[in-house]
Amino acid sequence: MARNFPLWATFCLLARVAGLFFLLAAGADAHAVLIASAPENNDILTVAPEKILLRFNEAVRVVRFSMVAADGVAREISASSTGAEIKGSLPGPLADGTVIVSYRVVSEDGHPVGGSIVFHVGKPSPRSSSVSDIPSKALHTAIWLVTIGSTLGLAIIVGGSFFNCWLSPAGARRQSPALAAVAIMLVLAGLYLQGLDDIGMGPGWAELEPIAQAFADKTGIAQCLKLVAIMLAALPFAPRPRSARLVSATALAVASLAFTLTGHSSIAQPRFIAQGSIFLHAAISLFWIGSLPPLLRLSRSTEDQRPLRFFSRLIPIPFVLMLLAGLLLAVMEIPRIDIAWSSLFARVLAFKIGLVAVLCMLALYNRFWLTAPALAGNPAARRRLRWSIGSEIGLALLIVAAASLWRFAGPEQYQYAHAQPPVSLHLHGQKAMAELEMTPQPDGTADIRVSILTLKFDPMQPRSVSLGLRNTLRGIESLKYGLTHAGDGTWAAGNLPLSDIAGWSVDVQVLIDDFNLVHLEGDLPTGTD
Amino acid sequence: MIRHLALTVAGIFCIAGSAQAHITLEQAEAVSGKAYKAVLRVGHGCEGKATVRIRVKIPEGLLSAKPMPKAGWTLEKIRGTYEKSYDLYGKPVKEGLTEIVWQGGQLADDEYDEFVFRVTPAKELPAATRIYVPVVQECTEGAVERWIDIPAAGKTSDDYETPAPFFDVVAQPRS
Ligand SMILES: [Cu+2]
Repeated sequence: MARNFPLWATFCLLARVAGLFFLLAAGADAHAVLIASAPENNDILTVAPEKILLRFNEAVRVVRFSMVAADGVAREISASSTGAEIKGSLPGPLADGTVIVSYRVVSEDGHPVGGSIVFHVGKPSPRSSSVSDIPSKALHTAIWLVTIGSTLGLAIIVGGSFFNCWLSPAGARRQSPALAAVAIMLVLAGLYLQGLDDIGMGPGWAELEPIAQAFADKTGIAQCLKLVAIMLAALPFAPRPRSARLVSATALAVASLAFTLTGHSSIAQPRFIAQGSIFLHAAISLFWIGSLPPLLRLSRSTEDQRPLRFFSRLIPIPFVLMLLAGLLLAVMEIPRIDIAWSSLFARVLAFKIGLVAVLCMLALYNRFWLTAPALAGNPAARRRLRWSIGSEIGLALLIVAAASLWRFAGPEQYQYAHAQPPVSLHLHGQKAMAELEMTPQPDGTADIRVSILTLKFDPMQPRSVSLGLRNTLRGIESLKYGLTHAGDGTWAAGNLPLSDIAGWSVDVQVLIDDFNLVHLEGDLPTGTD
Repeated sequence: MIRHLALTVAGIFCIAGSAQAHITLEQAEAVSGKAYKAVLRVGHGCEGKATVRIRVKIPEGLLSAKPMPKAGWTLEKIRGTYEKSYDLYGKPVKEGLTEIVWQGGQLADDEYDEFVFRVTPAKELPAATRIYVPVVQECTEGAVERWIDIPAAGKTSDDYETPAPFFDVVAQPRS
């Protein structure tokens, strides 16, 4: 915007001069008027439109045609005009939410006029219909539980198979088919439930649509990779120890790859570092968790104790790598969450760090104080080792549970968790003043309430009140809303496209009587945070 | 339901608010104390709808207003008292027309017409005063355009979507 400013200013000046000439010469001052548009202003559309059509009362030339979609990014619209009609192709696909299309056209008198059309794509705002936009708690709980179950299953099968193949001299101990079947069911259930969440439904049956939806992004592929990993680890593909080792390593790699595809950490920048860290973090976590049940079994029995010794010697290196990768991810993620320490994301992170700290102490205790005496056959040390591995399993469960919460606590969830506070503004004019309060709504729109007062702070009864909105910062041309007289004497409107308060200026237009209009103008204060 | 209705009303307003075909006065200047022929030029209806009524507020300081009758339109003349007494050709005047209404006609959106009245700017008006003449344009289907915006300090009529037509009062040339 700012980059175009000198050009724009020059154009304005030229247009003014041209307009002046017209005024002197012909005396006609006929500005173009928008007569109709499709979508119409304030339309609520279930499907995002591909085109926008504007019809004016006379032939116009497009100077600027742009839009601000729900993501807040301003984009140009390519337009073709045929006389009084302008067709624009909206850059798609449009995300659900409020779209503001702004136009600036020049009519025959050379005077530019601008305006905006606002429409809403997707679900209407939660309060304007019975359709609930609030995410289904039951569905989210189900997704959470299923994710915990499938992640633990994946770790026990894939990580356990890796442990058995590489560390256990007894060779490939097959995973229980029943456990594999349960894990596969959980992965499939997770796929379906996440698809349901994507299409905005509660728990229920919606035929194949959720599956199609899950495959529209990377969720589907990730879940498929998990299935492949479970099958590789659980099925007797390779009877010989050497090939079994390879298969189990492949299974672990495939399962870890699945984690790099989803989750908001995977889109942190620089991407390859983020995804590499996730891969490492996931692979080691799966291995560690998967090793715990066989270790527990070993510590109980009188079997060959060498795996325990191997594990105890080996684990510090991957464990430190896992911590480092996790730390790197957290550091990469933190700048993207607006330092929102009260957000769910940060709380989950803090909780997880706490659990990992306890785990570290337990691991150190295991490694340096318990393992050697336990291997030497000290019964008290063996008992404590069993107790310690059991606690590690409990901690693993809690860590997986916490990590699975992240799906609901990405940086983007921050906005939902913390609706912006209401903004109020006092506007003072020569004949009247206004108290304005704007309340941002969770759906990205805002409600407004205005009280009109006389200069002596008495309530005033104007004939009508309308609100002009403009955002020069984001190139949004003037929008005008007629306010409705609420029962309590204030004037109100809803569904204003103000997901972000910054840069908006307001013009409260108070019609005192037929011939007297008062403009009360001001800028919305930008949020405190 | 009420919310939906409100949204619809807001929507209608929104389209109406964006840009206008201005109503203007033909002569940009009037001489203080002399009759001024005000020609209101109406180049468009409201949002494409035909104009059916033009209401003109005669501002304070414009004396002995007289509308010019117009074929196809009926006139309504509303009298009132001025805020103060003015001297007109040596006589004090304290009342006169304060509002003129042309109605009953039909001016399509794609047609142009002029509405004429005569006024005398009071000699008491300071020289180089800009006089704003608020006009309300009413159209079919209840559509209304109010050409009543008077610029605040530091602004011009161009800053408004529906500016009131205006002219400047200049001092009588000495002869
Ligand atoms: Cu005040």
